[in-house]
Amino acid sequence: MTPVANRGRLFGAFLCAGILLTSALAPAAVDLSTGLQHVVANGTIDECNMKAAAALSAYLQNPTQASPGEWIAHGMTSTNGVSDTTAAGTIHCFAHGTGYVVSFSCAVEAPNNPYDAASLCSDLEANFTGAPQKPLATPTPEPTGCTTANLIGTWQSDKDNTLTLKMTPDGELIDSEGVSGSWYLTGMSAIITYYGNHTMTLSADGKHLRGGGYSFTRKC
Amino acid sequence: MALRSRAAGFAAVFFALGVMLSAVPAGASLDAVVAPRVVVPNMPESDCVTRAENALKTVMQNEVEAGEGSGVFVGVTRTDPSSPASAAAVIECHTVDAGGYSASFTCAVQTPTNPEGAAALCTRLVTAFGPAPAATSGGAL
Repeated sequence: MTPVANRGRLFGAFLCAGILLTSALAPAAVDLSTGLQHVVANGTIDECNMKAAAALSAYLQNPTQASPGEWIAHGMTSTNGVSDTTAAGTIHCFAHGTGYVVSFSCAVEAPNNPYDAASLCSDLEANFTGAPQKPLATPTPEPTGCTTANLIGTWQSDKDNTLTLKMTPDGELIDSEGVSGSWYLTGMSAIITYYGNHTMTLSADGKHLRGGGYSFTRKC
Repeated sequence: MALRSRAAGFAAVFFALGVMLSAVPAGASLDAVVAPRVVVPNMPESDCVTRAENALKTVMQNEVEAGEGSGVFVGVTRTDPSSPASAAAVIECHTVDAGGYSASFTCAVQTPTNPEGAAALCTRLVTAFGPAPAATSGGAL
């Protein structure tokens, strides 16, 4: 590690002040981490800019210098073309004496993003300074197959060949025409919110869902 | 509150803010921007602190410094008073060697839950923060 490690000083440890405003029904969140700063006693702003771009590139996509000294990059977007990135990081370079100060801010959408904002910022800072980095969590593979543990998967209507429901791990569903709803499973009883609430029963093999005027078979 | 004075202490802070939302429509995403920093010459960093606190209070109705003396301020906003927050913003104050200070702005919102995007939020914050004083011209008569 470079002059940063040799001369830089990591400003203190951590003062964590997490504010968690939770809701029982609330699976999603904006998770923000900020305040991590690093001082390099001798170095140029160009050096800071170069390291900022490299650090962001290591974990995010398309690092951009939004304005002098202000860098931002975002996480991957979905494959359907919709801008639904769940992570972003910013790095700020400030001239300071014969060196510079660099600071880091990160935001992620939890729990849709596999890692939290603090982990991202820690790794950005470590990458910037050349310190060891911890691998960020990767997305949990979506469960496949028929199970009685959840309703995740694609369900084909037994009464209408054109109707399918895709149920996702976050408890949401979307039909073949883009109409959305939700699902909730307790034991073998499911509440499907889709054009109203429907109480349905899951079969013992996890493959059939019937009730409320609907009948679906899971593709598995 | 110069940076050097911060260095004497434990200065750095690591502020984690989790804002849980009660419901997230399908297709929700994170929108984050960093706005151009505002540089104010010949003013103490305490002026930045005051303006940052006021801007966050005005736009987001709350603010907290991420560690005493850090010069980093965070605010959150809500879609209505009873709901959890749906956006967060950071204003950082740094002393400029030539005299004065710079303030940087970072905004993150969850769309479409939050009624405005991150860019709009940061624009309102920068406006509330106020511009650098116009250069004075001498020789008035």
